[in-house]
Amino acid sequence: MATKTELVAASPPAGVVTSRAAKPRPRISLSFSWLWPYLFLLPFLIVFVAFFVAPFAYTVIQSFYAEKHFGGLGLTPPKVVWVGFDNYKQALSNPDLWDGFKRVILFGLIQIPIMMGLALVFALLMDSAVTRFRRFFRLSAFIPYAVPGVVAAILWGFFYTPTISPIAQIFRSLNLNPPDFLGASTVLASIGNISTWEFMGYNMLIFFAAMQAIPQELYESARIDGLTEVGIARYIKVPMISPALRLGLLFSLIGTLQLFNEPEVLKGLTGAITPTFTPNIYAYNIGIIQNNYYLGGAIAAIMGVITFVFSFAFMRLTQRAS
Amino acid sequence: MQHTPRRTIASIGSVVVVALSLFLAACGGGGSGSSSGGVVNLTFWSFNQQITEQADKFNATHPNIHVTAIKQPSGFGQYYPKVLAAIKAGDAPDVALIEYQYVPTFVSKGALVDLTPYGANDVKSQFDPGAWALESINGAFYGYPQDTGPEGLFYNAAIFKKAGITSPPKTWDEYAADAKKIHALGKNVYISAFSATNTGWYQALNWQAGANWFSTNGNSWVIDVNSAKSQQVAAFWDNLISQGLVDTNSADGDFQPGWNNALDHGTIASWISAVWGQGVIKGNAADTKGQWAVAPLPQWTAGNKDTGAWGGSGISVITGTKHPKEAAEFAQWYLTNPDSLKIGVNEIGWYPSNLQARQTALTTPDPFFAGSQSGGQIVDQVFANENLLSGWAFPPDLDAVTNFQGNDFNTAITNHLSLASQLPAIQNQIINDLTSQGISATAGS
Repeated sequence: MATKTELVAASPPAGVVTSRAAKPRPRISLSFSWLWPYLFLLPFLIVFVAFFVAPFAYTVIQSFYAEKHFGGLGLTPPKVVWVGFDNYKQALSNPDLWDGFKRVILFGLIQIPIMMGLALVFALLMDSAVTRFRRFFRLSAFIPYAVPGVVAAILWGFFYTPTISPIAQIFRSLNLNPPDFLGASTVLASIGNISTWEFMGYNMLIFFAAMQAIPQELYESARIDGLTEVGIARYIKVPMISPALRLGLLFSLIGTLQLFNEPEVLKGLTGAITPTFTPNIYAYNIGIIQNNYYLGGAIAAIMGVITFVFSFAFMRLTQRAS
Repeated sequence: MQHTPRRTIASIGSVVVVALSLFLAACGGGGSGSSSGGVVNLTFWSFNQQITEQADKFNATHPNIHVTAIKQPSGFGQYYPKVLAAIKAGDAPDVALIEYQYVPTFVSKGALVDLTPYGANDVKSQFDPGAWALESINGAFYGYPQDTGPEGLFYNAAIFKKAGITSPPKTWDEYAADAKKIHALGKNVYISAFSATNTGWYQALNWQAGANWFSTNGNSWVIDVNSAKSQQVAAFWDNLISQGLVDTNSADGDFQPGWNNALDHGTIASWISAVWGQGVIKGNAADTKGQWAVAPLPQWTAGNKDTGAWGGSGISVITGTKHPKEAAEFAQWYLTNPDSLKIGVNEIGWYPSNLQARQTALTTPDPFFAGSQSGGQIVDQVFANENLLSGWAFPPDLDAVTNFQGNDFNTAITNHLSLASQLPAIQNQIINDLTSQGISATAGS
């Protein structure tokens, strides 16, 4: 402290010519010091702009254009013209987009609580001192997360396809009708099952790690005050890991709105997954399969805004609640 | 899905990759065709297997042109988006296989080169006139016809026999009666899957019935999905579906793993498919070798031989090529040269649109299809004896049509509505889609 004050005191007032001439090096490094963080950030910024900002901006710009013909049979090359918000109007007025949106919301309302509930229960069990084989359980619950999402969907698709599924074979050997996992009314639940299987262990591990950070003294004093293990879980552990819970919920919410991999893979196994099943599949279908980059861009931009609004609202709500 | 940074990053990543590829597509420049040292280099895309063999033959006899053939994946939503994205990127192949049903869609994107100035009409007489017509639009000609896809009925004769059916159905009434007999064999046994989201086979049945969904009247499209003939076809299938005589389980639709398995295990007894379907059955139902047979498509009027087509392809020159003359020369050589056609017929399994080559395809019995005739049928001959009706045309927005029909039929089956009730909505969606692109379209009925 003392040396620092001395140094500051020893440096001459700004604008003194002799002093600047006498100590050129520190002066230069001082006046450009603001630059250094940005210099270190530059590699990130270059990649971020090239691979995120620029494509995103380009998509948004494209969403205001469309390929148009001008009457006739349309058998001549189209022109790309500025159409303002036409693509947005078209996308927003399409009930398919909203049906898909309602579908992912319904999915989230059921799947997220189930998965988070399971993750929390398992994390609490794992954290309680009595659990044996802790390492084994931790690993086996986490392993599905190590399986890439597409592979997980293919794996479960095998269990779901009636004619090749071992589950269906068991049902048939008991002379029962095998359940239809890929029917129009069941396929969403089947996807929820895959997601839960995949991500329960991951969330569990996050919660478990957060519990490890809770100071042991809290438990000691709680026990001295006569709190049971269930009480400790209810009144200490869960409130103490609420930031981790909130983070897990936020990621789950975003992931749900962007539901794509699992239905896209299962689409190859069943007609119940339509090209408009989720908003992301719809955007992919319009933008890539139907080659309407312009309308596809508009749908992607709409979904981006909706996801942002939902995440923001969620954060505000939970911050107020805590 | 979801919940994790990894997942979120992955999905952001995928969006970014898609966006970036569009971005790069727009920035990219320069065609693939280039010339070095007097040799013109061309790229050729197809989803057939042995195309490099054919290109080698061409290169050996054409020292000034070098064709690089690249086999592409063929799945729905893979090949055509890739071709169109490549065109947009200025990195398209010079020559590509385009199925007939996609030709108007590609023309409406300005993606195909008119081959008339490059001597197309000199070889017109060598080709099936019906296939030639599918490549001819408004006096221009957009690709040499490679193979044709008339529909017929592939059936597992062993299962038909078990159900007490001795000869394949000649009319649709007989088909409906046979459907009942076959379903009586067991509650999991069906005469056929009804594939709601695969639309090509169903459109061909409308083609056979004399419907014409997409025709032109002067400078406007006439969309006629809801005609009396189309209603007749829909009502026929509605009847079978409501009685539970066809397998509507979406996991058992054409080409799904469940369907492959059902063919192989004899729980789906037949398939309405095009001539190229023989390869699909041989590949998927190897255990039932010798049990299969092929018959002409059942008829609305007994004694007729009418059929429609599902698929079939031509070889087109893609807009943006720097060497349209050489590309057109290769396309023409590819489907008129006897060596190339021989590979196509014998190794790829074309039912060729080149009439001379077709004769060579009609000679060999296939022991896989020995269900009705010991030693096997000459499969292509059955299709050659059919009458592929002329007059059907394809729309300039095929992907959208496929989506509308697949979606609405799927919804109908899920909610126990009739297919017939969906036809007006499908027609309206097609008209709206076309008009929103600035293309004139009116309702036929």
